[in-house]
Amino acid sequence: MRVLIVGEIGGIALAAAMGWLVLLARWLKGRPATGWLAGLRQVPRRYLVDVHHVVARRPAAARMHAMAAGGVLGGAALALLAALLGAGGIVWALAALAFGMGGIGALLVWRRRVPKAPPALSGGAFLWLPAALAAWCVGNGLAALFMAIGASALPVIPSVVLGGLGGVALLRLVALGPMRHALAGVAWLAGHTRPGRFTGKGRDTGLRPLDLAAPRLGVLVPADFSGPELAAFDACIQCGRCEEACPAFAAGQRLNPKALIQTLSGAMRAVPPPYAGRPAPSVPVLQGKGGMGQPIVGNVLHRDTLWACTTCRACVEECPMLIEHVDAVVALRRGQTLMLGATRDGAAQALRASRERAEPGGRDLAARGDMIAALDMPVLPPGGESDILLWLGEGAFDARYGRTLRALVTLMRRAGLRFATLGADEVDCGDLARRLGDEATFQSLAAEAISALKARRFTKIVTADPHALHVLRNEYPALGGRWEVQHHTGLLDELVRDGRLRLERRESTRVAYHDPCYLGRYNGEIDAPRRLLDAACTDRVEMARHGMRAMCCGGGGGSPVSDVDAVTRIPDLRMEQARAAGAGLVAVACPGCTAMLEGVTGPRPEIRDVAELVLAAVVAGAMV
Amino acid sequence: MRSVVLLSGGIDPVSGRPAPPSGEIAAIGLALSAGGAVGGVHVGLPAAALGQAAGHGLGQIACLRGVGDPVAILAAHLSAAPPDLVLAGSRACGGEDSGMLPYLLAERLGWPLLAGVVAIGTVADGWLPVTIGLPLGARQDARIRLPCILCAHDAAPAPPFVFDRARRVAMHAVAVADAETIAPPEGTERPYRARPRLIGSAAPAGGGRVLDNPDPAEAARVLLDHLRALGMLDA
Ligand code: SF4
Ligand code: SF4
Repeated sequence: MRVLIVGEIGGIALAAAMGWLVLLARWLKGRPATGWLAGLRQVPRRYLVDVHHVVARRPAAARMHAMAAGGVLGGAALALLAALLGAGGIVWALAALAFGMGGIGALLVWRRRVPKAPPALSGGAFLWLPAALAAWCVGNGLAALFMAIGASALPVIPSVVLGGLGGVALLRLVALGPMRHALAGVAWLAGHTRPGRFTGKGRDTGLRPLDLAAPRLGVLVPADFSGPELAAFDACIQCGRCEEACPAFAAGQRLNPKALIQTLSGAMRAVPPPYAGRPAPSVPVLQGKGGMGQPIVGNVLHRDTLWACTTCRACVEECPMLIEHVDAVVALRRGQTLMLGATRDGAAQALRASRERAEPGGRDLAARGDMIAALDMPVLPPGGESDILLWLGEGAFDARYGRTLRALVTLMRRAGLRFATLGADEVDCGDLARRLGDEATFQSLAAEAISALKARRFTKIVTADPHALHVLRNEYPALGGRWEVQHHTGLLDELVRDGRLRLERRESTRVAYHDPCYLGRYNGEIDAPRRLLDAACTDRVEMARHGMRAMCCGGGGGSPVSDVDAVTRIPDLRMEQARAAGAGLVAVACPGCTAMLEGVTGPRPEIRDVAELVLAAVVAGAMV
Repeated sequence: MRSVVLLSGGIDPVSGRPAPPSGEIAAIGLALSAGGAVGGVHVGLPAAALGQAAGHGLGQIACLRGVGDPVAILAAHLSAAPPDLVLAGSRACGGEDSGMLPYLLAERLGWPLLAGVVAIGTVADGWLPVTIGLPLGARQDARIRLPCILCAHDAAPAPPFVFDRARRVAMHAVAVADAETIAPPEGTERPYRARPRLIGSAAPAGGGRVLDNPDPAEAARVLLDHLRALGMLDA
């Protein structure tokens, strides 16, 4: 009997290992990744700590997964142990217990879609998952139980057969998708392309520089992705959490992050398993054939999908498999932009202006300071020295955002700070070009900006633009520019804390703070603006989605210049959420959010930058 | 079909940074739509704007290294191995650009020239059908004998910029014989003065004559008389 059980469970385990090698052989056709398999020893920690940290945000799903996965694997391990070592009844009993737990897990998996399946979950082969899990757990569990009580071969044999059938079904579900995450997840967690997520402050959001001399820039075919990235696409469990968080999907744009990842997984295969989740809204079915060397965009992936993404990282934040959707989008955009020039017209114009005028709007760099000209801002000449360098950003060209900058400058003056701008030497930081995939223009803008900054002396950079903040703080270091970079809300928070600015709360309507993606999710700064608002306003509320899980305003990633079709506008959706929270005023901290939310038509809450609200509440400063 | 696109070392008028003028990008688009071999020609040292122009679809650019009148240098270079089609923008963007170069070149080569081209068709019997863009979006069909010079309309469809092409462009210097130096422009510089503007009813209604295939001197005389009658020129 022991031989039979070893044969059954061991055979299934061996077959699973073989299946993993088959998958691995495909992933290895991608660009090579260093130290990939060495990362295997990190997997248990990354899985048990980091993955479960995300999974546990939905306790019911976490319970289900812990029982099912724990039961399937734990029961099998214990039963193998018992059978191989000839251990006594106690180990068999433990194995039976584990399988029993797995059986309850299978029940929970079934309950998830019954009576009503949530729309973000996939159907198709997933509907067979509970049965396969149950067969494996019940069959093997009974066999273990009979072994534990020393029963005869008669009841053990059919139990083993049932378990074996369940095992075969599970293997089949690896090929069809639902169980693939277990195998692919191991490879992906071992070779995760952002190891910084697992160490230190647990955040790693900057895009990596591209070697512009490489023959193939970005991704055109699946083999252009690195091996671990390909494994990541296969690791998607189709839970739909990314889909629920995606602003582009909510607005009816042709993007569904889950469908995107599934498409990329399918793109590796000539005959991919059918996808039974929600597709990207109103996207026509593409008839192209996949394959490691087959083009992706326009063949199996609709062009619009690529340009709809705002790079807000909401999907990444929600993904239990820790998949990096934005990296995939940018890699594909790099291929389209750099290798084919296949950008949208609006984006092509912005990129041309970035190339030729160092400013995506095509405006004269000397006009950047016009909106704050009345403040007589000091300009730091090359070789000059100041305490703070104020990076104005693209918003400075805009009259509305000029009000925010004026508030900020006024506050900085009241606190007695010494600061200056780069004047006409401030080029665009390159954020837009980079998100649109134009790494060449980004790198040349970055080189110019870095050399302008290096020619001056200052202790830190302050900016009111979270996109510039992210680029300067997280992406310039890889290109040789390292400075302390602070967001204006961080600076103001510091000034209030140190008593250099004293605030008195103003009677206010209800204020809801809208987190900019590039300040919150990209940089983890969600507290300073809230502290400021609490000190400046009497009544602050939170929108349902806030902090690290806030919804994007729709302004990032070059999506506004890419003319993507939509059913509704993303900022309208966000404004609706602010209304639902009862807000009469939405506090913002980014020129992009200001423009997007102010663009919402009809009666709506007012939009104020945090700096404007702080200025209204300030009663004393160092110079008063 | 072999096409040559004339490229200037363009400068963006707002930023003062190197940038190919829109007309030259449109010219590259026309050259590509003609099919066959397409190359760029620039008189002078390789300029940064050339690489950017190449990104719009040129595989190679010849930089003619000679001193003197660029029209003479170009004419010598082009007549040594005449292409079928020479394309140019409407006007360079850099220094003392007058937009005259293609006309002077056509005169020197004795080739026909059409300006404001937005599209070209396929050659039949040595004639090339082209579409000319007129104000207010009007279009006019015409045909021209090869070899010829075409000046692209600034608004002709521009091929996209592809960084991969820009970085691969082969720019080779071609040593050419020096040409005569250009005489400095005649005339005197004086400050801008506002000119009488002709709007609406200020212009005498009706009038005008249609001249069919006039003698150039006759046509010029009629034009001058007309302008004098309108008060645009001193009597
Ligand atoms: S990409 Fe991640 S969040 Fe989205 S469906 Fe797949 S596993 Fe879930
Ligand atoms: S980054 Fe934002 S817009 Fe892009 S796919 Fe993810 S959730 Fe959607």
